[in-house]
Amino acid sequence: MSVGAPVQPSTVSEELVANHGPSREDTRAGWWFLIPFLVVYLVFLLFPVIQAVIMGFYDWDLLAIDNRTFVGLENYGRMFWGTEMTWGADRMVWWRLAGLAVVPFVWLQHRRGALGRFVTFWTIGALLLLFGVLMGIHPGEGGRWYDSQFWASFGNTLLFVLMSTPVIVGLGLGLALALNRQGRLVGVLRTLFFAPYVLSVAVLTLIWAFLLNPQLGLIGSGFEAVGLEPINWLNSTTWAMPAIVITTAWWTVGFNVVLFLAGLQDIDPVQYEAAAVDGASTWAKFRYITLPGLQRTTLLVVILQVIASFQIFGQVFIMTRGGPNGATRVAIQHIFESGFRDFELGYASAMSVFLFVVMVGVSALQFRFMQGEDA
Amino acid sequence: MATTTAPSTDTSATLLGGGLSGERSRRWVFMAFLTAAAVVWIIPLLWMFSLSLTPNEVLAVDSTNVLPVDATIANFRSVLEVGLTPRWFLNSVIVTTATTFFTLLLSAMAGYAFARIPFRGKKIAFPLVLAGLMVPKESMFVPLFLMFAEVDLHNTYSALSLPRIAAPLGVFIMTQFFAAVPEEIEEAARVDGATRWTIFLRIMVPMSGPALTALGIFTYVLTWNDFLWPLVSATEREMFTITTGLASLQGNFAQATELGSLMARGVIASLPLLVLFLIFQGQLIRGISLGSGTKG
Amino acid sequence: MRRRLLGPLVAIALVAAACSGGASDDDTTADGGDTVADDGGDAGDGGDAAGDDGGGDDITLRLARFFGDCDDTTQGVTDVNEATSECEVIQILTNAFNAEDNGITVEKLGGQAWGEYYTQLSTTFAGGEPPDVAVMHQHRVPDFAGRGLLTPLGDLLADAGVDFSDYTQPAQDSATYEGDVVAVPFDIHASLWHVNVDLFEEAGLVDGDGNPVMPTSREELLEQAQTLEDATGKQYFGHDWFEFGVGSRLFLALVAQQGGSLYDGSAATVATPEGEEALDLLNTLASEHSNPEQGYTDSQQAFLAGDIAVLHNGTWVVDQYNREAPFTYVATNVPTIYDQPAAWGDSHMWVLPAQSDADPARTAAAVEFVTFLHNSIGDWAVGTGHIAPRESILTSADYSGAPQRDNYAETASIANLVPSVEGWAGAWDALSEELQATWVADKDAGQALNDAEARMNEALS
Repeated sequence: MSVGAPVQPSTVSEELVANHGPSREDTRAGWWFLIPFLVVYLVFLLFPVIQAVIMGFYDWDLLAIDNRTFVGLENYGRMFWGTEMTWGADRMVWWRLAGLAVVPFVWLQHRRGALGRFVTFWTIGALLLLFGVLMGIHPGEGGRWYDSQFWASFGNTLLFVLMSTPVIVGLGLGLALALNRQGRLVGVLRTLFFAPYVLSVAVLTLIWAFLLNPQLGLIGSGFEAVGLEPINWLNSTTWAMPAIVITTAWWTVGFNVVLFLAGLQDIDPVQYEAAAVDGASTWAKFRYITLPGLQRTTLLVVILQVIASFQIFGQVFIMTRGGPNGATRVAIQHIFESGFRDFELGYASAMSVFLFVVMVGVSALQFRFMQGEDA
Repeated sequence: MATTTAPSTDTSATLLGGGLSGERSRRWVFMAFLTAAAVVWIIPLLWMFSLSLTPNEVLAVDSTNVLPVDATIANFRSVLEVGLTPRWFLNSVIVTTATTFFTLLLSAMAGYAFARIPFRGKKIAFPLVLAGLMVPKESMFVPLFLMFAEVDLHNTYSALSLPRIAAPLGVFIMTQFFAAVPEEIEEAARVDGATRWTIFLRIMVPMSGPALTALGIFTYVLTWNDFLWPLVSATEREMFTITTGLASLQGNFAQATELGSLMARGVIASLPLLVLFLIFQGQLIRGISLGSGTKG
Repeated sequence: MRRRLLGPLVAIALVAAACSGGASDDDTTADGGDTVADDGGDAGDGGDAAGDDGGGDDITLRLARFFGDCDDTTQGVTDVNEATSECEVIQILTNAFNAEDNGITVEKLGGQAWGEYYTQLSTTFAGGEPPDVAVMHQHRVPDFAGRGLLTPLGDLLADAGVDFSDYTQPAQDSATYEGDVVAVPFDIHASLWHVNVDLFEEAGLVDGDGNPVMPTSREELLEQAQTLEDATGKQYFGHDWFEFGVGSRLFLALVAQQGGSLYDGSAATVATPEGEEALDLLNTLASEHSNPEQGYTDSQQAFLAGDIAVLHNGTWVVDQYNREAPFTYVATNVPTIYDQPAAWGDSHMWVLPAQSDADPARTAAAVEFVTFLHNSIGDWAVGTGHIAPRESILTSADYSGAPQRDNYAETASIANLVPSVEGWAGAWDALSEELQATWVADKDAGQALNDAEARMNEALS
């Protein structure tokens, strides 16, 4: 059964009644079918967003939720600002240069006609503002961020996104290429690679926390077997985050494999046949047929991976509690702790709103894909 | 091997190319390598099963065996007889089943309306619902928590289920599905005087079995594995789901001495999903493809 | 459009909520905890309770506590002498109370590990259904009492025959908030030095009676460490360097030993000469005589395996170590390195969260339970190693007859309870993180103390 390419809903029925407009009866029926969902949707999805924005302007105490004080932008000031703030051109210079390096790339895409003027203008503007100006702001001599944990935890989330995305996407692509053949054995292997995806995060961490334990786990004894000192993964500021990435890769790579396999099916077989006739090398076929054919899928997988990685919480929370020394404390954990340890729901909401805005930016890209390529 | 019938989709075969006999032996090496990789991949899972079957006392000395030593089901028995694991399991089943059922029902109804009924206001409602696709749920737990606190609904199955039912993705999938159903099928029924509701229940729902199954399995897996919301909402021990319950037993170092029991709980928590997965593998994979906007 | 829809929308949402609730709820959740009894959990209670209090309605109290889950090993046990851990003592005490013919059943809520306890407790307050009885550390009491969330207990306890003046002065102080008694102290727990005497003996660091010699100055401490390591090849000092903020506990003690304090009554004071000296000593220990990669479990394992001479850990492990250590084990006071003796200390306390729909019968039942716990303080102290907060028990034969208790009797008076002030939990976490950064990530000590002070004051404001 194939659903086919995204279809604009209702085109067919609308044509039939185009001249008359929807009938009263249809309108009533339509709303009756829609309302149950719409109610749940408005109450539990849209309303919380509005509520979060409102709460972000208040000092709102978890233990006394009926008492709240309007504080305007104070929560945002606490997030983004500090004492003795100054601007420095050399602040985080490599990160900023890397960010600015995207600008010519965007411009190139625009020149090739891939990006409209509007999008190009705003994207370049945003990049210049963020990397050129905003990231240069920092507390000067004797100053400090009001909430240094905010930047540290969002930084860790970003680090996780940057580390996990290439690993999980790359591994997914590799496995998909290897598994893209027929036969019973391959079917079984696909199942094996995909199986961890159905585990819940608590089971995942149960297995891996012990697996990674230098004394109790298999990985430690594996290291010893080849004469290496076992790494104390989760207790090391250096290795804790890579350990979380490895754990997550094992858990979710199956999801990406599925998407890549679907993408591979969409590549027209005729292309390979034609290439074979021309005597193209394996590498040439991969480089000039497979990769371009997977371009759309790859972009989609990357976007989905970035969205998923931004929401990292469970693995870290159960396995390391954000430690050691805050090396794995991530954004959602900081929000969680601000709200539920420090009782500051208002401040937690303000941070939620920030996370929301960042993620909507990424989701908007995915949204474009789901709307179809020409949307 | 069936590769001759579908050479084009076989990237590894084309990747490895070469003469016929060489190709065959290379294929063998390749498959052996891939199989070995898959076995290594699955070892952590096997290890959990193995530990769950090993007595706690044995594990206190050595926990690095992939095959169980002195296999026993005592861990399972003690977990099921004492403590709240069965209760948490039941909670998960109830919450997940209810969530899946209502997600399917509401998504199918809304999808039908969007795809097949020309009604006034649709041009506003549809984009409004699609906009919801962009809301990252995990970042909105604070206001959601407050909402349920104000109406005093925390620690109930409703609180655990309702937020997940608001799934615009389901509506999107069902809208696409219904939009692809040929108009004639519905027309014939309408000529016979059937109401919209009858058409929906008698014709559309039965037709959408594959789409509903795919969406249903996908929803089931995601809901069963939900962590942040149950962590925040269900604070009473009796209302934990198996996921939060299991998490509550970790990070508690006393439990390290009961590794076997802990792993038995892990097995109990994951077995239903592993079984479901083995049965409905194809549908789950289709659900993923549908849900993320690649072609199904 | 939206405004016209809003009314019906809300109505339908409520119906939808009710429906899905009705479809899937069982009555456990119908009204909080009154019916939380599990199937078959209290089969024995039903019959004999009838004669008790008129209606024969059993009252089920919701108890929130940490100390862990040990249902497996304590089911049906009511003899506290069988307990081998904190968890088992409190669970067996609860069992014993439930077994009494009083028409009250106490059900434990929340199963979260230590780190999550307060999160979960707070959400029950926010949800409007706090437990009937809860445990908390004394430094958390102001967070809750300051918001009027705890029932004042003075009169209730007096009526129940609890003699509050029997509590030690520090215990009394921390159970009182702005003149009201709001908590029932259960113990004082403090840091000790757990010593492997065999290793000390091997290094010649014992006196004539075979007792380990404790250092009395920074120089002696470092010299002793060097001597022991040279003689035995083992690690001198160990504790949890980064998991549960144990480093900050020693920091607090070392600052207090110099006459300093972490809190001056209105603000955090850690960026001080005393703080610098304490942190410097900690870092010297970390880099030369310990292993800062060790956390709570590994350091404990290493100590019990005989690989560490001194373990800095709490009173709660005394009985366990006494039982399990395969060497001569002594628990002793944190040594006085500077001018005056001091050790980190805190206290577990029972509180009665204020209920929105206060039912006198439930409150009375809750008071009965905490009175029972008050009377069981001796069992708790003997069973766990914690210090009893009551004078009459401290001087009792049962208590001082328990293992090791004489060796650290002085800790009862030198325990320096952490400041009891609103927001302290966040301040403590910030302090711990900044201190850890100096030995885990080589952060500059002066910078760490400045940052810690600023972050602490932010948390306290």
